[in-house]
Amino acid sequence: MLDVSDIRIDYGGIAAVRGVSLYVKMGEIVTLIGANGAGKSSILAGICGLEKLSGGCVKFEGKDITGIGAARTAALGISLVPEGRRIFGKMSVLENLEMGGYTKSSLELKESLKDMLEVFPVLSERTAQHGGTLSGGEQQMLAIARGLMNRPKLLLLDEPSLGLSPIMEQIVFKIIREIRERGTTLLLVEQNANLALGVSDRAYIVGNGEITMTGKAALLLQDVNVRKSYLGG
Amino acid sequence: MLMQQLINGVTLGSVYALIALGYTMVYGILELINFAHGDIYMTGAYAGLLVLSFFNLQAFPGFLIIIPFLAVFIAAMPACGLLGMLIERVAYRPLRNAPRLAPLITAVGVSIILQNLVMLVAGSDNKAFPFIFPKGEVALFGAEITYIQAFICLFSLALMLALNLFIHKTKTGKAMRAVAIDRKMAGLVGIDVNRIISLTFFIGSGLAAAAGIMVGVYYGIINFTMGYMAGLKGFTAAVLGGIGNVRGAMAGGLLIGILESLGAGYISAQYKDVFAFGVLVIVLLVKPGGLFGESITANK
Ligand SMILES: Nc1ncnc2c1ncn2[C@@H]1O[C@H](COP(=O)(O)OP(=O)(O)OP(=O)(O)O)[C@@H](O)[C@H]1O
Ligand SMILES: [Mg+2]
Repeated sequence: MLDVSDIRIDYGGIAAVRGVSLYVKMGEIVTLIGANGAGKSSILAGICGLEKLSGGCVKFEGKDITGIGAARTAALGISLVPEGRRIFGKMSVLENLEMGGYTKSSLELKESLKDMLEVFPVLSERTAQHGGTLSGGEQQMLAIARGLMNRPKLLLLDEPSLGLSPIMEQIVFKIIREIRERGTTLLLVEQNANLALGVSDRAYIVGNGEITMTGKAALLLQDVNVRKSYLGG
Repeated sequence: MLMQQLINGVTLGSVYALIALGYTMVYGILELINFAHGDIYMTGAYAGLLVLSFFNLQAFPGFLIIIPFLAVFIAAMPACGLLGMLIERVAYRPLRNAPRLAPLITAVGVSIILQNLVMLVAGSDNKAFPFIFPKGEVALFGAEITYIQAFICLFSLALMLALNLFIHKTKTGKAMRAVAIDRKMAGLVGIDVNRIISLTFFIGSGLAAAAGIMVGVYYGIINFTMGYMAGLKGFTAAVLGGIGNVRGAMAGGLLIGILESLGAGYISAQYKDVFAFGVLVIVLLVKPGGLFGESITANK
């Protein structure tokens, strides 16, 4: 469903992504792992139109979506839950969710809203609270729920477990599985490679702006070199 | 005397508040101080004059005078709104990713262009604003509020309430707040950021035009340089309230109007401009983010 071929991203002449190709099939969970600064977030930004590509192309459901911009990409059914959550701090939880469903009709929006408040009971208790005053874990729930409000076909999740307690991490990964069961395809960026590979079908290892290795998640979990570099031995 | 000065101050302050809104909304979204905003206010007054010239005011006796009066607002506000949109599109958008100084200097340039255009078309002398608002006054807390003052206060209040409802209750208004908080994230959820920025200029400029027309009717005279001091006061009001903060701009405008009026009444009319700016300096020393702003060290 997603086909990324040979994309490049430069930040003022510095190449952060240097010819990355990857694909995600419908129903899959695919993970990108790699060191800090490897270019994982940049790859996601390139896919969803947040950063301009200096080369390569992105296809979604067979359509070339290169360069159409973030807003139109969202309308096609790709949501990004960005690194650092980026909650609209001075808007209520409810308003944050409404913004997530901005491209949807008011009827669909109502339905998704009801849905999300069921899936995330923490949020339903705090609909009137400002997003910026939620705890880190609650903010992460809100960020994911906001991303789902768009009823995306493909959800890009950038480090959803960052800064969460082990229990919260488990909850997030449980939600990731649920999202897939509801029929949404996922492309995940994670530092917690153990947990991420555990839920994923396939993974790509990113190093220095390039894909250095790819394969089935279960196999990468066994791989000696991968274990050494990303799984703590 | 005190009550009378307060009434005068609130009238003036309503006008400053309307102007301040345009500054603060644009700053909230683009972090740009739109120095041309005062001249949009001035252009609004001239646009109102132009609309009035199409009417034979003698043909609207008594209460019917409301017809040309409303027509002035209905035509001139959106016209100036479009002018503001056009300015953003032509002058500011190409500089969206340029260093901050570039759009700032451009704004000063736009201000000069607007002033000179109006001067070329309408002349450099004072223009009488020929509309005679029904004369009369109502007793209010032991003082008197004239009809035109009452109109200015009530109409400004209505516009501000409408704006508040818009940005807090409608989907587009919420999107406007989202763009102000985090432009990139707003794009990610599917908001057309450029459209929202255009709309912000439209609304801000329309409100400034309303202020310009009301001042024209109030004082009966307009001039192509009138945007300078009014713009400065509006800007001061926006900073005083905490730039980027819509409700702060409303409060800041009222505060400046009242201070100016009290200062002129009790201390010295000649130094009336000093009070507004003096208070600004003091507030910024104590609370650099403005009265309702956040501390500048906190990131947004
Ligand atoms: N907006 C930007 N301007 C300039 N350089 C950038 C920008 N964004 C990212 N970079 C650089 O591009 C490189 C890749 O960054 P990116 O955020 O994609 O890495 P990452 O793999 O997501 O890292 P992390 O695991 O730390 O989140 C880094 O060297 C970073 O400094
Ligand atoms: Mg990253």
